[in-house]
Amino acid sequence: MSPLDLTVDLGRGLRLRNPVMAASGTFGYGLEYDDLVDLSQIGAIVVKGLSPQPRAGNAPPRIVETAGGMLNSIGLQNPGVHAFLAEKLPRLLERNAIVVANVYGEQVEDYVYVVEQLSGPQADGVSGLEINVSCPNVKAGGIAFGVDADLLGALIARLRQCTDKHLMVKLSPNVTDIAMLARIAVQAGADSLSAINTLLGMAIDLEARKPKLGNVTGGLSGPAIKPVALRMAWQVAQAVDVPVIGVGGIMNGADALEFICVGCRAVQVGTANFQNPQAPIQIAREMESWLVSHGLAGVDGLEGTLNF
Amino acid sequence: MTRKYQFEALVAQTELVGEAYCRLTWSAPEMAAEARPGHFVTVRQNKSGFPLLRRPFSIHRVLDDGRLQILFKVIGAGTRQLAESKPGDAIDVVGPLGDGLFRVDEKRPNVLLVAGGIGVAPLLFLAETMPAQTKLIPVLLFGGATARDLPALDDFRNLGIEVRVRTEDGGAGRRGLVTDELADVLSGLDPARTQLLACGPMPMLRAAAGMCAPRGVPCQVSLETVMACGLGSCFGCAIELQPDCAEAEVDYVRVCHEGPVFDAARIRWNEEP
Repeated sequence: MSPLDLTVDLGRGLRLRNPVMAASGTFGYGLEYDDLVDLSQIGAIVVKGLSPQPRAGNAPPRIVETAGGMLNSIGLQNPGVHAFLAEKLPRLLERNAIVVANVYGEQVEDYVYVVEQLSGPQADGVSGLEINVSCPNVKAGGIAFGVDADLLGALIARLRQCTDKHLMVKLSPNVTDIAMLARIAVQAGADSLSAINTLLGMAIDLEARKPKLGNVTGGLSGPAIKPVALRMAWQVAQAVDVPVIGVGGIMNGADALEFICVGCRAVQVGTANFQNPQAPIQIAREMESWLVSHGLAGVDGLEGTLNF
Repeated sequence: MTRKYQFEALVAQTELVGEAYCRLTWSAPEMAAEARPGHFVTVRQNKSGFPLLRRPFSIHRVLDDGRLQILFKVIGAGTRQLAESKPGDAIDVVGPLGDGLFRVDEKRPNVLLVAGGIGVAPLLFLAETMPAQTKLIPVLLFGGATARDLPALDDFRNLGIEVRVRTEDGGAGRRGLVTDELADVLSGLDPARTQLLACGPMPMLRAAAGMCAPRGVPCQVSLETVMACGLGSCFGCAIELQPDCAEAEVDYVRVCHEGPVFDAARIRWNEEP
């Protein structure tokens, strides 16, 4: 029994068991971890991005470890929204997981289609939708919507009309003014914002004079990006009134609490899951111990309490 | 489907094999009971945060009393740390992993085990579990850069397995590549009674696959790619297969999940860059 009530209500039906979600693309569809992790103990599982049809993804190699981080260029390989609803979701719900579905499209109509599918009767158990407008690894769509204020506003406004579910918009760090884009997303109807997705990066093999990734560039994640993520999550939290979910290089409870301190209501952990599949649960426990030892009754006592 | 485990295991033993290779043993009876040739584990060796990602190692051996063993080449800082671990040190192990495992066809008695350097690691597990009462005749074709790159050679000899060695510098066996040896051996065998199980560098596997295909010799290869999750969730370790149907342009599968062992005929082998 936990000493504290760590549940977090992000609004419009998305209630987390604790403030730590597993970030999209780093925890598959949850079921891959079935033997190893009690999925019901995770704040919520944000499943790997779903598109209208199956996607093959990018040419390998797709992963390279770099100093304090890793680059990936998976390219959103996924079985499509229908396979998710038919094969993955029922099993996830049997395990009592809280499920957030990540949505990707190449054009507005793709996003609309996936959001509609995830808002229909077959998707009753999906608690929220995270809109991916920030994947740096696909040629069409995705990040195009996340870096252009007009496109972003129009997309989110359209999706707002298609669903009553919680809409979380995952922001890209590959922009000049993330606060401006955050405000646009909220004005268009976003219920929460997750910040940040990966930073566009590159690694090469000097001797061969070749890129290390098949896609040449990829998204940088892991501890190396935490200061950037923290700064951007702070900027976003300053700019909007909806809950902000901090993402980027969180490896332990203290990292997660820093994001809460700068104004986030919850966090997502990604690369840490590769290091240890128990990371989301362990990080939530570490947060709880810290809160208890500091006489706080929950994360809300820490949220946005940064002193200057 | 194999049951997967995550354990904080205590190192039972580390043994240097030559100058550059290391065998590491730990006790994990549940994992050992599930392990089959071709399976791998991922290891996180400490909590310092370096290396960032777990490292995959094929299972080299399952010993009596539930001990598991990996064999690896000391290449970078991570493998050096692992080689320097002491009995009693904790390592975090997840496994056994992979659904694509070695399958020995009992109707093909000429079993060619083809290893390039550290690729020998999973083949000892395979050799040790090959049923002794059958008429299978395993032969190890083993290639390495130098005589120092032939770890575990004696373990195969101790099993009574014929070993045919090639080294690039001629320091042991005949000079040349293991695929040169394979060409010699294949030419003297009935393809209908022969099978090949291989692990090693990609160019070696590609060449071996290229020799087997025209002769109709079944060839299974155990692949290694960079992995992040090792559990089938991230799709980071994907390789390209021949698409199953004409409409599909590409078909990427996960080495960690659909593999690590594949029928070589299914793989789309890219030309040497």
